Amino acid sequence: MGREVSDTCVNSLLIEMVSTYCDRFYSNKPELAARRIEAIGYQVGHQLSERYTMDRPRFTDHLEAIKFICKDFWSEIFKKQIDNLKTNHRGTFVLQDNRFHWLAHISLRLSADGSGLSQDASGLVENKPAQAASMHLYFPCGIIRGALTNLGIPCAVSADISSLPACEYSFQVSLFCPSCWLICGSDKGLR
Amino acid sequence: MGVPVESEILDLKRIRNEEEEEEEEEEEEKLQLKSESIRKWVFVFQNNPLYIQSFTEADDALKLHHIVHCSLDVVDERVKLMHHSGSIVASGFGPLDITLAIANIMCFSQVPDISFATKVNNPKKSGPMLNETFLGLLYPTENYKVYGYLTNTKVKFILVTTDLDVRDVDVRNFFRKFHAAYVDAVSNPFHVPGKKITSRTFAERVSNIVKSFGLGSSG
Repeated sequence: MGREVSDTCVNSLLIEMVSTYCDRFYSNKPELAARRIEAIGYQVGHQLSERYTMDRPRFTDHLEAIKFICKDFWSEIFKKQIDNLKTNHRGTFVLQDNRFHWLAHISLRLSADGSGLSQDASGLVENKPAQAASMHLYFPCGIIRGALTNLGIPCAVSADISSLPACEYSFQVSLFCPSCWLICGSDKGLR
Repeated sequence: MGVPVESEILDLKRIRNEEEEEEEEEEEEKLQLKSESIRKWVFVFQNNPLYIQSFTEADDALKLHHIVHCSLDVVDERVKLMHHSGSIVASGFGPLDITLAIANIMCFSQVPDISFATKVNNPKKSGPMLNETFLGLLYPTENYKVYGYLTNTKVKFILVTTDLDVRDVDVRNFFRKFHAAYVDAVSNPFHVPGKKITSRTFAERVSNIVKSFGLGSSG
């Protein structure tokens, strides 16, 4: 009974949302715009996680929930999985997506040489696409944070762009939870 | 025979403080359906009730809230025990919980296919399943049956029914449809997570589900 919407419409909506918040609503306050966009993403992630965990058996620990985010959740939203999941086994996780769907089709206004993403002598041009696109990452950060919080893992998610279509999301999970979640990565204690 | 539908939104707060909520959010929804001699109530709690709907006269509402709060404790206990290996008496239980646990075990000695003890002594079950089969808390004097359902997002649905003839399959179907309706209601962008569900569409869907559940099992 799901209804479908065109992918390009969603992309356009998100790009327009970012530019509206950054340029019109909070034009001189990028931090406020970022926080607002992230809050929107939080609610979306919260609701999406309800929907996509509906038919699944319950997760036994944090790692299961995070793997769900990397695989099923990401493929429901972006039709691909997270390419790389790294952890230091002490609560920090890094999700790497080599070709983030919502960034793949973004065209950025560049300097007057008009040469796209080519290397430039100053090296500043290389950073500009990354910086400009970083505002677009607040929304997926919010989605991840909303989904994780709904699954019982409150955390703060931050994003980083290394080269343009690839980006990384990292978050820190608290290891000791007073509820019945097991201690992350350890076989001692409550198990 | 027409079933009167009254929706009452009762403002009930749990005894636990909000600081102690941790990450567990339980939603109990209470629906009461009166169909001749069969009465059913479904609760959805989220530490404070998100959605309470009753389909019958409210004279015993207080008792039902009491039952439901007790069954919430049992659900918590069940979830904790599923992560522990083998011990029936887990730490940290107050006297009320132990009384309930004992009551469960006593009640189930007469119902051979539903056994609380079996669930507890089976710690190697591959992860707790999405739906909790049969809390089956039989209230000592009134013969209610209580079924619980816990989702991945710590939302609890509790169904209280006076119909003793309910089949497992029916309850599972009920909870599946109910979960679908709940997900649609929560996906409403105007719904604030943590607040009561006020969607009329949701109320209608739930009453349809409850009606079809009643017909299915009493037929």
